[in-house]
Amino acid sequence: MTEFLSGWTVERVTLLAPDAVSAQSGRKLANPRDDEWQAVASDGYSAWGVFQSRRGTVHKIQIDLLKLQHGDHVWACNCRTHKSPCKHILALLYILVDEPEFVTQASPPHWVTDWLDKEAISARKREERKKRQRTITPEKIEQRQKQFAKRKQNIDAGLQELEQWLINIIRRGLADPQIRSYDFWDTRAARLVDAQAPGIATWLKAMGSIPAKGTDWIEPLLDQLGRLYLLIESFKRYDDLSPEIQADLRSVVGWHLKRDETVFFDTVTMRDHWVVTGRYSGMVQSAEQASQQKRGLKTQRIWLRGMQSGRDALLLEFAFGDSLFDSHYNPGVAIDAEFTFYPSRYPLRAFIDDQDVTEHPAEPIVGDTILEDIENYAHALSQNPWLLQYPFVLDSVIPVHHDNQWILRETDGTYLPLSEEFQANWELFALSGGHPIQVSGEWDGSVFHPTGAMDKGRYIDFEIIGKVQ
Amino acid sequence: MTQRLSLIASRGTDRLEASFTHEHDQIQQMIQAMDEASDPIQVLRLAGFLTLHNRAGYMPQCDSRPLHTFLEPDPEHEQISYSPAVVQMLARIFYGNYPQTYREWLHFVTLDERTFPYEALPMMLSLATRYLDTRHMTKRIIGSRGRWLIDHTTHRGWDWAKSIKPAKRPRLTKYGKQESRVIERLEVARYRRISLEATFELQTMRFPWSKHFSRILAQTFETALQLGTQYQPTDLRQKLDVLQWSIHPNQTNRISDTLLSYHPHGEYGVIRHEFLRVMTFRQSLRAVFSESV
Repeated sequence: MTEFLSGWTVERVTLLAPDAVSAQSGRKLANPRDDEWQAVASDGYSAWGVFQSRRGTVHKIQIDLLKLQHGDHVWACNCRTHKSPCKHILALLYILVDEPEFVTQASPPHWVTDWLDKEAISARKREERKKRQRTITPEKIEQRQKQFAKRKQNIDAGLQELEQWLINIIRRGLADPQIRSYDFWDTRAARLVDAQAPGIATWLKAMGSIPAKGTDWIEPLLDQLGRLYLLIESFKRYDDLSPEIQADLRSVVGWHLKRDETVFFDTVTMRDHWVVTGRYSGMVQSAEQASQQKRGLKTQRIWLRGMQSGRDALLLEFAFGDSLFDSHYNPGVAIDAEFTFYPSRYPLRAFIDDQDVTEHPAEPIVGDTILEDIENYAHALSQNPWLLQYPFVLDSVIPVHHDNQWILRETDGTYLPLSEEFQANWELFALSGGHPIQVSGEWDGSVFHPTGAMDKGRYIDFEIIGKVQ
Repeated sequence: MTQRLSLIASRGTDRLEASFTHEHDQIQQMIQAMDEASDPIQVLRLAGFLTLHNRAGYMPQCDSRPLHTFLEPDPEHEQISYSPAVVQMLARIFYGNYPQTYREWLHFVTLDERTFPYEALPMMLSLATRYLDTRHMTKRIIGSRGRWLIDHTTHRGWDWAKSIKPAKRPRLTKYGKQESRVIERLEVARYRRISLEATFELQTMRFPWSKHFSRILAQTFETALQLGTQYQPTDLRQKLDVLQWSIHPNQTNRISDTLLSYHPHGEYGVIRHEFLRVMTFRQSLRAVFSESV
């Protein structure tokens, strides 16, 4: 039996669906025995199908299998939906993966070859456009400088106002009742959004929820205010700093570099076999939104470790409302790809600058001890004091409930406290059964948030188990 | 130092003067260098500096007690092969809107002798704590790791599992007699309505109901509505709440069409929509078991 999409499973096809409804509809249509399928065929490089709905509308579906194997979603269907892939494309994919014996081996008809030709032309044009974007011209430099100066001016003004606001808070004292009001923080955050500093706005919104967390909130809040003040002072010296430190400051402020802007910096590009060690997703929202559980901007962090380089990388993505993230890599997956790291004194965030990405099942990786990782973190912090999360892969730890707190304990007794935000403590405990296991996660300087675990070669994704869906 | 800093920050520099000393030489030097700044700035700078200092110099704590004195590991610790989709479904049941469908999940797991990973156990035990009738069956399949987990858990309400007897085998025809009793009651009413007595009986019968029984119920429901029986939205919701968790999904379209022709709009429309959502979820649950290996 011919395998059209080598290594693909039904679950993997489902992951491509833009939403659950499409996946379900696609699965329903994926019955090649049905008369509605007038043709389902492939030449091994592309696949196509002709589907006639009950209303009589004929849908022609085409998929470039070669590109799909390399993570490039090249497909088409003449139905009217804006969703990509539509239910017809999903149905054809399900058939290819699940019931390949019903797929006829044939040469592509003219409408498929025409489409493939057009796609090839479009791909070439896209590549040329990308090249043009990467080329630095005097006009581009001038345009960038103008935009840069304007935004810097806005941020400077915003931070100047914020500095005075912070001083006033400390003068009046944190016991001031208004500190406990979400509005107090959200209003200031809105001013920072206007000043084009969304990173600080998000930070302020998060600070607004600290007083609601319990009785001992003065110290954690003061820690955050102090760090924010240091950031303001650092930003005042922006022009005297190295480009890498400038990039780190910009990243905290929320003035993110676009991919094509990285050409203005000396970036590190690295090809490696990257193993996904953990995945975290959460909401980027205001304290008020969090309390009302409104749907807003969400973020996803995928942590990877290069098998040859031993280097950690972070794929950071944002999505709004019900829309899905671009990357779907989860613990248990490894990818062969070229990563370009965003400029930083301690580069972690990267993007995949490569069309040639192949996925494999991940092999076990070697982690570190708690002390080794803490030492690595201290080094990273000396390079970039604004690091918010740092990846740990702890080789041999046992989850234990200790003094009303969950900890990850090594056999010699050394331990790290787990974040209160982590919801799957009991799942982690059950997984371990009192035996040492490998746990990966994010360290923020005071608590550890597990994002994945590995036991006897099996990876566990806490985004699936132990998280509200 | 940290306490003094927190006190000043809490009361405000308008009330308390910012003056600090630290035993660490380098920190003391930094404090002296900040002397010219105003009080609030000194507080903010020092707070920021100490936070970074603490983070960079974090030393993990150590619990000197030998581990085995308070945590004996489970003697069984094996790699189990399982279907991720089955476990993902359990997570959707646990965290989603339809935890009642745990009965159905459990039914298929025991029927097909499906394995699941250790990390699924807390969700199963929590669901069984909530739905009493699933406890015997849950206890049957939790294995050594499940018993270990129960022994090492407090404050989770899993104590029932220490005393309850595990079910010996999946009881697939549990409601045979009850189904006959309900059918008798429907027959008395000439299959024109689902009487109150029948409804009470149905409430005690959990999933699974046989296909034949489901068809008779759906048919009676259809006849009742076609004959013009007046149902208030609350009554209708109650009737469906009895049916939707246990009726065979192949009756979905029939019930949905009946509801549509009865009263397509307003609150009745919402009821139909909710019914369809539950049935779609149950269908996807079944699909997971029919597809996954």
